[in-house]
Amino acid sequence: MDKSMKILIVDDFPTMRRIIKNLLSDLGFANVDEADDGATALPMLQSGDFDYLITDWNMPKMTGIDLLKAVRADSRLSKLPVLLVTAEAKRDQIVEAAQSGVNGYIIKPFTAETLREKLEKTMQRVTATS
Amino acid sequence: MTENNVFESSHVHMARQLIKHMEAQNEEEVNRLLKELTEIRHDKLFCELGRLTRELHETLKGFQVDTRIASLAENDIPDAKKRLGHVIDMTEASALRTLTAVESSMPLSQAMGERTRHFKKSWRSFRRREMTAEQFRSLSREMDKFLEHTDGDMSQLQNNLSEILIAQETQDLSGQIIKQVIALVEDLEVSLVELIRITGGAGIDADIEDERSVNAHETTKNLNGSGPVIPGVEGTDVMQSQDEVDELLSSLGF
Repeated sequence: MDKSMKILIVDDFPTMRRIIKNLLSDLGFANVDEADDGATALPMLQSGDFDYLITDWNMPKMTGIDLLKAVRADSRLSKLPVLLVTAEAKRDQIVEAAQSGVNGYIIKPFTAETLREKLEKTMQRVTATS
Repeated sequence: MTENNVFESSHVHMARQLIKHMEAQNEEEVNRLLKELTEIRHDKLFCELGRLTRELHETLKGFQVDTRIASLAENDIPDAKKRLGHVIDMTEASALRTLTAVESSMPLSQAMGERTRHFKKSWRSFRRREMTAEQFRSLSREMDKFLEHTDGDMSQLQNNLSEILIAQETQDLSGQIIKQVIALVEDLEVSLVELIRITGGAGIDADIEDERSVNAHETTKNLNGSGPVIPGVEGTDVMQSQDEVDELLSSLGF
């Protein structure tokens, strides 16, 4: 895994953003940025040069699923790897996320191990296809 | 009785009779006529009361049928209690997890500190060349042990800190659940205000009420099936673990 990857964390709860940031730091990823809503995240993605997106589902202005769809619809962002980390665990939602092109789906509460595993898995796929 | 005349001609006639009898000092007749005239008023009052009672009854019936209060009482409030109960369980588990990690870390940190202090002394003697060869050999062996211990303890400490980090997740999950319950309370508020208004409570402003109603229904929309899994509340179709999610995804070919 390329540890200099620029990662964006999106979640409306600051504690969660901080936890994920710390976990990423433990794994060696120090190039991390944050957004508190899909609505603030999208322009950041469009103007920044992010290599990876980790997002929650439930957010007040723009949900994670809508952010995912917007990313896949934008020609410059469509290949961006996206990991959903969320409390949403309904079958229909997981299916919708998969069909919208999410690379990985983690439900809360999660362990550090799960995050690491999914990151590895999705990053491998990305480098394999690029 | 005609609708348009407040006072019937018969009533007017009775009043005229009353005056006549009063002027003639006929006490009995006066009393009788007064009684009759008052009874007319009573009848009118009773009619009006009957009409109001029927109206209230109809409105309450209609109210029961098409408002949220019944479903709130039966489903959503017990739901909310379970949700809040779950929040308590989660935050307690999280606090205990943190405390366990801290309790495990304290002795490790303390032992490390003691060992380091001990070593400082020995090393200082060595540096001042105050050691015999035998003492130095002993120091070397101790150094081996020290490095061994420290390595193990540091790993443990790292794990404990990771534990504490993860234990903070519950703040996010509790927050989401509590938001749902707030939405429910708003819903309840709107329904109760409506009930009070109908049963004649004074001073409920209709505009505020409408706005509240819209807000509550907006948030109730999000209430449906969103948020963390609550044992005993969410029904079918909810994945219970990361493994289940992974299985579902691989079954779909992802």
